[in-house]
Amino acid sequence: MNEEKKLSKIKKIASATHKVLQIILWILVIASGLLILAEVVVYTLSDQYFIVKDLYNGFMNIKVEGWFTYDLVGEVGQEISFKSLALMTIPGVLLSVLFYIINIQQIKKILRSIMDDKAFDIKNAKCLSIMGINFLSASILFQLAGNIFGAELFKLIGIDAGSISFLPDFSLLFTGVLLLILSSVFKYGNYLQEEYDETV
Amino acid sequence: MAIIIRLDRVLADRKMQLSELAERVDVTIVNLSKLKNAKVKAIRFSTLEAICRELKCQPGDILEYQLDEEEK
Repeated sequence: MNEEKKLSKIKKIASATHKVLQIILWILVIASGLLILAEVVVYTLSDQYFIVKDLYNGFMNIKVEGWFTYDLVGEVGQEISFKSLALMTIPGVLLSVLFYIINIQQIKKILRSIMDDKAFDIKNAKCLSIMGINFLSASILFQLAGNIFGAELFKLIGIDAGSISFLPDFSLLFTGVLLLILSSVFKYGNYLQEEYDETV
Repeated sequence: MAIIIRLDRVLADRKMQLSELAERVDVTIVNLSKLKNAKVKAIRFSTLEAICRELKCQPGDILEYQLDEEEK
């Protein structure tokens, strides 16, 4: 009876989380639509709308990951059009929105199967695989997008940026690997569930 | 499978319906039907005990081993 109560509680939490995620998903879908629209608008607008004058009253500083701050002394940011940066930023944000949309979709499917008493359904293993691949891709793409953005920014303000790093985001990378491992665990769990279900 | 289920034969001898047996042994009629048609992979001792108790028979009356043609 105690186990039944625990299971009932888990199902309630799953149900509530499912509803919250549904709302978040809709917000993200709307946001991605607006981002695409914004990209089109930015593309069609003239460069003059993106010229920044007297940006930092003669100096700008750049902080890198909170580790150090580089102060640029002199007139920067004047009469430079940041349209190319804006065109790059929107797809970058869209990429992260898509990342969250894919993950939330998979989590919703897993929660639905928990609510239906099918925690070890083979579909959940597939959901975890998709999430794992999503995280692995993001570990490379997010870093790449950030580096390309940084290189373009430096080019615009006249700094010789040096080279772009191709190292992945290790926290996303390890999370992706963990999810793929969990997917295998769920596949085995599905096998055990089938064995249990076929025992009278 | 080499194990043959003779549940239908014993039920006929005892003049009992599958649904009645399902109720008595606390197993769903779906699962009992699967058992009767040998669509299950395993049976718990507790279930076998309950069936033998209600049908007043031995496990050997319900389960029969028959060598496969390939093994012969």
